[in-house]
Formats: sequence, C-alpha cells, structure tokens
Amino acid sequence: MNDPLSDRLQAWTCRPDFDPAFAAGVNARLAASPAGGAAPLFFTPAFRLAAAVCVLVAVGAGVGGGLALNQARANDRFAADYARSIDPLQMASAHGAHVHR
Amino acid sequence: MKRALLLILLVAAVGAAAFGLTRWLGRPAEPADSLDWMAAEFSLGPEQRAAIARLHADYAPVCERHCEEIYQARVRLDGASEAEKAVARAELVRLEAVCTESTRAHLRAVAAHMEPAAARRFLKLVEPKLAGHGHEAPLALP
Repeated sequence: MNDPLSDRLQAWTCRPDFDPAFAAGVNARLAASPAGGAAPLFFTPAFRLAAAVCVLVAVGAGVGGGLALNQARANDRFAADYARSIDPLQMASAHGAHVHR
Repeated sequence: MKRALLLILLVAAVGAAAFGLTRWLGRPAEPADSLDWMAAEFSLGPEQRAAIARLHADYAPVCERHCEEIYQARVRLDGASEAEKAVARAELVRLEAVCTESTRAHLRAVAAHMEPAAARRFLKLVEPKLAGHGHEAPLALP
C-alpha cells in the first residue's frame, strides 16, 4: 500500500526564490552607514559636554576649596597674632617682645 | 567602563591639581597690622575701625602694665623660698585672673563695635587663642 504522504515528500523539491538584488541592497546599506557603525557612548556630543562640565566643576571645587582653606589658615594665624598682642599672659611668657600690632 | 574610570581619574586629578595650585599660589595678602586684618575680615566701616583703634590705644598701656606685673610675679615665684612660695603663687594666680578678665573685657569691647554675626565669628576665632581661655564657655557680647 502506497503512503501518499511519503510519495509527496519523495517528490518534493525546494525551489527558493532568489532575489538577484539582495547582495546589492546589503552592500548599498553598508556603504550608507557611518564607518564603524553607531558611535559609542563615550564619543557622543552629550558625553563630551558632560565630561567637560565635570572637569570645570572639579577645577571650580579645587580652586574654591584651596582659597577657602588658605583664608581659614591665614585667619587662624592673624587671630593668634592678635591674641598674642592683647594677652598679657602670653606677653609675659615672651617678656621683652611686647609689641602692640 | 575603562573610559569611564579614566574620566573619573582625570576629573579627580584636575580637581586635586587646582586645589594644590591654589593653596600654593593663592595665599591671602599679609595685612599691615591687626586692625587691617580685622577691617578686611570683619567688614569694618571707617567709624567702627576708628572706634576699635581707640580701644586698642587705650588698652595698650593697661596690657603693658599687666604684662610687667605678671612677669615680675613669675620672677618673684621663681626666686621665692619654700616659705614664701605659697604667697607668691597666690599673687601670681590673682594677677593672672585679673589679666584674663581684663583681656576678655577688651575683646568683648572690640566685638561690640562689629556687626552681630561678625562679632560672634571674631570671638569664636580669637577667644580660644587667649592663654587664659579655659574652654568653659564662649565669651558673650555685652
């Protein structure tokens, strides 16, 4: 007894449609895309802007912190000089160097 | 990831370099005297400055006398016999208390010529540098 399904499978052949323009289309799309594909995050303009802002903020914070610390140290020293100049207890310890500034 | 780390390191290095250069190069100008420093730091007007200058001038001889008295009391204590030491030490303690109170009163009088916020900052800055400051309480404005 013949199996119709088996006969049909035996007789089946694959005849794919071949698009002759397929390769040309792929090549055209490749040629149209920028070299190296999409830009990585690190080279996007937004990232560069953010990096520049970070550097500027770091410079600002460094300069601001340095100035604030310099001023605080200087104030501490000037205050100590002033205290020495009005404090008889400290002056008596350095007797002979009594100078009002 | 590697590039992000590089960026973080770069930002930290730039910040540290800016801080270091500022600390090295950005030193405040030296004031000519204490009054110049006070005027600049505590935003004294001409009248406040003149009033504080008068206080300083009035206080200078008082301070000088106290300085001499304490010095002499210390010399007496150093040269005192065992029997005299207690009296000499008591006298030195008394003089030191008088001088400390006098110095504090002068400081409060100077601060009284400043704006309230500046006066608080001035006392907070100068008070701990007085030799007799016992850290028991901050000086109060009159």
